[in-house]
Amino acid sequence: MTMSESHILLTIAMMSIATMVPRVLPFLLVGGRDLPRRLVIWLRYVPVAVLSAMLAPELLMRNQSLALDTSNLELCMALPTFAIAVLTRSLFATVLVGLGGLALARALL
Amino acid sequence: MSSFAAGVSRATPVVVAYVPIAFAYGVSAKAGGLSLIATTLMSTVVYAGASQMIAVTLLSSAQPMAACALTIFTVNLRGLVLATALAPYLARWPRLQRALFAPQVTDETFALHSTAWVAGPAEPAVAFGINVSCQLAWILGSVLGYLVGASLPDVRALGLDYALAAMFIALLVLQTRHRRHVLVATASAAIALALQAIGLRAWAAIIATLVGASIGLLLEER
Repeated sequence: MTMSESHILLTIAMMSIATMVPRVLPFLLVGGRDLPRRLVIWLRYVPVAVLSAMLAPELLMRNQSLALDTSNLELCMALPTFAIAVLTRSLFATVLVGLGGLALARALL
Repeated sequence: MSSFAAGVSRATPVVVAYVPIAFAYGVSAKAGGLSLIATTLMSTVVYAGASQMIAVTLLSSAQPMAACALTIFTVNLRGLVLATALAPYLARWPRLQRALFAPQVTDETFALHSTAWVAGPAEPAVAFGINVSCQLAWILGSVLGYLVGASLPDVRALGLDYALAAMFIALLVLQTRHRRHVLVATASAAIALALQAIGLRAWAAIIATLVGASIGLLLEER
């Protein structure tokens, strides 16, 4: 099933609001009341939590069940990709190695 | 050299990174059946790498609108953290300039601005030079990816379907600075996997994030 173009554009408009509100709000509130301390601490854990919550199923699951074997190339490539991320701390280098590595593995295997 | 041009040149490393990543987004958007207008519009008004990749998947599988927006909101809650950290530096800027600056805050422009402002004043022209060149690179990469994607026989051969996972890996590593971060990441990964396994596809990441961040708060306050 596909969506109509107007439905897609409307969804993009809603997504725009969903991503712009968190970015814009703090700049407009500045000078006003600060956020509660516990909320600030909680917010600091959101990035790590959301990234791994999205990443884990992407790497470890195929069709709603765990796929923890070497035939899961995406999972195997995650190891060198993690290593490059830790060593270089560069988004660009990590994405390049991830994509290039997976392309190479698919071509050879 | 004018301040705006100084900002443009300072943006170079991010520009170099954005073009290929946005290219991968453009290719997946094309493969997911989005129009060129929708693809470009998203890079203009959503302007968030991971969110846009997820959006392509959600849109092409016709997920409900509210679930799309809520997922994007959760993924971009970290924008709130970045903006909260930058906002005090801009306290003296006019309100309009702050409102124009805010939508172009990303993980990468945040890194450029925060490093510069710890050392010196927050000059609007430099900041806008950085922001505008980064987003232009992002839009350009998306359009290129879309156009070239039409003639690519198989995105899998280039590994482009792995761009989202690789980006998550990089961002996750960059955000991990403490043992508590590792614990939170492990916990929310486990929760997300369990929820996915019982079939809660659309809500797994959101619930896992809320619980994971709460575990972080509890660990820190212990």
